[in-house]
Amino acid sequence: MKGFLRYFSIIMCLAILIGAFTACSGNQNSSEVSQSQGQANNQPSQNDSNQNTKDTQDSGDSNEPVKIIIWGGVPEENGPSALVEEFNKTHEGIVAEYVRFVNDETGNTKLDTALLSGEQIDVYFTYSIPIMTKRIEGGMAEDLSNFDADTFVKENIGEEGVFKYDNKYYSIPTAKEPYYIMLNKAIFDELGIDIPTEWTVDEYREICKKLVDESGDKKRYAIHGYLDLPRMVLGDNYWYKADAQESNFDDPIFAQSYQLYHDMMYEDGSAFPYTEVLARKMEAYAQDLFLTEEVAMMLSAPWHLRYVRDTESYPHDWVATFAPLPVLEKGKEYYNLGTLNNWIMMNSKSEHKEAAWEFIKYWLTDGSKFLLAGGKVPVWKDVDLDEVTEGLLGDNAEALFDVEAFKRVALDPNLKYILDTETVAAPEIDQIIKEESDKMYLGEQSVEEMVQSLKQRADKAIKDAQ
Amino acid sequence: MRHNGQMAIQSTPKTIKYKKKSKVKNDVIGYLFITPNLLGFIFLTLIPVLFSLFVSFTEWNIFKGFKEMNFVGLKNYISMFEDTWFKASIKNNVIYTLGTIPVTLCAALLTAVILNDKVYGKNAIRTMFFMPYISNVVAISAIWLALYNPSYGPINQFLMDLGISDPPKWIASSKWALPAVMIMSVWGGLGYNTVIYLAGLQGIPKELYESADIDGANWWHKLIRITIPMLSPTTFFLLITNIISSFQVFGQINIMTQGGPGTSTTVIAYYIYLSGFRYYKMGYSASMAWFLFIAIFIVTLIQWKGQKKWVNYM
Repeated sequence: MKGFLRYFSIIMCLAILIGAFTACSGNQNSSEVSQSQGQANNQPSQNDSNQNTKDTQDSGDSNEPVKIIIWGGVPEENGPSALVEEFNKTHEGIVAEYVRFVNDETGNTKLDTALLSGEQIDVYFTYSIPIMTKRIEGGMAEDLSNFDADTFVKENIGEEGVFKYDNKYYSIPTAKEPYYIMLNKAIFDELGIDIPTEWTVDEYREICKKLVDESGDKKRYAIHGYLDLPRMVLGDNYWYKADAQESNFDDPIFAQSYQLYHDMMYEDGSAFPYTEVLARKMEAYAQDLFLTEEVAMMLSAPWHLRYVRDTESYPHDWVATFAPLPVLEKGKEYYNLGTLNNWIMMNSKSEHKEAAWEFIKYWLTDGSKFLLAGGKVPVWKDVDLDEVTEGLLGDNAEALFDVEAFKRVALDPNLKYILDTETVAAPEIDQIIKEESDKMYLGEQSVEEMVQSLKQRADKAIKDAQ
Repeated sequence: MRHNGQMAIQSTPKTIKYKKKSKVKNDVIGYLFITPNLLGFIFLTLIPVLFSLFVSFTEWNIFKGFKEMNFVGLKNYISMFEDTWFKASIKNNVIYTLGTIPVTLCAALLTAVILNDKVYGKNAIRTMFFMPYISNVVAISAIWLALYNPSYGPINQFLMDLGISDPPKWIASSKWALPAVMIMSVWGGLGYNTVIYLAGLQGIPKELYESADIDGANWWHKLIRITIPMLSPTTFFLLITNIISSFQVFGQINIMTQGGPGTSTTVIAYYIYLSGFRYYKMGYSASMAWFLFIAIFIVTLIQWKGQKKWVNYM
């Protein structure tokens, strides 16, 4: 026993020492990162030119192609493989390789670990602003202004709705995600209701009442999906007051918006009931309700389109058509609920930055067509709208979709996208909203009580985070 | 004799020396054998555990690397008692523990006693009871979700057939969500506990029952006077392990309710996960994990002291 203790204590000491060493080296690494980032910030031109010479040397010395590795969340078969293949054909001297990571908490942690440990990743994707901010602040992102991203964005995308950090482009969005209402055209035709091309919230509520059908075995509801009016009215950073020291839930538009959905659920019986949403986990499978005709309309975005196209899993013989989001007052300008997202970024530790930039440009422009089938609407200004529609809606488009309505509604160039830049306590506020709205939709508290506790709890979360 | 004695004296040190050598050799071989496991334990368990203790005294966002790790002393441990999420999760967890364990143990004991008698198709029934234990908690939770559906689920259909016009909404209600998860957990833990009790029953000498029969004791007396006291070591073991695992309940919560509706099913392991991986508060998350560890440790210690009063070892 004594002998064991002695050996054990030696091993323990060793272990702690090793632990201390690894911790130290970890420290060094991250401070190096911050240093190099600092350099990149201070002397972009020098860094840039260094990189240029290095790249040319890389390819010049051995005449071997430069290999770049891209990490993204879209499955290879939904476009990236084809994109990479075409890129490799058209770009001599660069070989791109795509690695897929699952865009969830585990997958993002895996990507962060790989970035921190210095694994070769030249280009990678980020799908949420909080995570993106953290990667930029952690020195994992190259300032793309070094490659004249400013001009590129202005000429090819337009600056509105594009995220900047410290007034610099560390990322460029690759897709836009417009929101709209998707409708079952057969039900509208049967009831003799015109497909709305613009509508107010009041008209929307009246139409919803008409769409309810209780004659069958199962009641058919009008709509599934909460219409976030405050977001449409207030736009960017709508959870916060101007200085982000306080939450904004005392703005009457929040209560008005929740009250509307609550009343549609409990008074009109037209919105799909929340007990069912919870019990059947419908947050994630909203398309099931629409495609099995349990609801006549749904709040929708382009990523739902592939389910409509999938007639094997969802056999149906009616046409889906599209209407813009209902607004409070016609003629006024509102935000769409969508954002520009799927941000492409360059690793600050990449050894082939020129090649990586070439790849980023290709993905954003000519390469964007390969991602259409996965429901990614390109941000590129010069994209061919017919090609986009065809790519998104598939070969069987006419039989499944009202193509003209789709073009008019979803690809409307005048949609105003949201760009949230404030992230103080955002995950906490998100959770608070879910918890409080749960209780409200289940009838366990009133809308008034809900908005009050939202305000109170979110204020506290903001205060704690600062 | 003398000669022999000398021989003996001479030879003694030799043997001792030889033995010593072989002991060291044996020790070295022994340590070599356990080295892979020990290294694995040190690097994959011990160091992370010690590191988490260190982290629990800091404010640390994993995205910002080690340079952003700020030492904050006991702040995390103090602020958890002002955190409504933490308080709600402790409350829910205590309800969960107090609700599930007595029911599971009683049901398992009864099942084991019945199965231990000569029952037709005993093995098949035993396997059936054990199935949930070896099934994936994700799959089980998905099935129970369907069973719990408030309007179309078999459970509520059955209750409505019985004449209950307003059956519980189960996981779509703050009041019933936690009981719904608890019922599923009791069902899930029953098989394992039954099998352990069955093993315990094999260890009770038949003579005790035979003499009880001679004295004219009935089934109930035998259960209360012989079976339950004789099974107390098994009960003690199950009580300790069940309490520990009930404070670690996570899988069914994550799949079925995500802590909702509201905070009605937020348990402590789920909140530790939320604050670490959703809110990126690693330090706070680690401090709650250590609080949980200390709490479980104290509860176990109390049980260990208390066992003298009711556990009979033969």
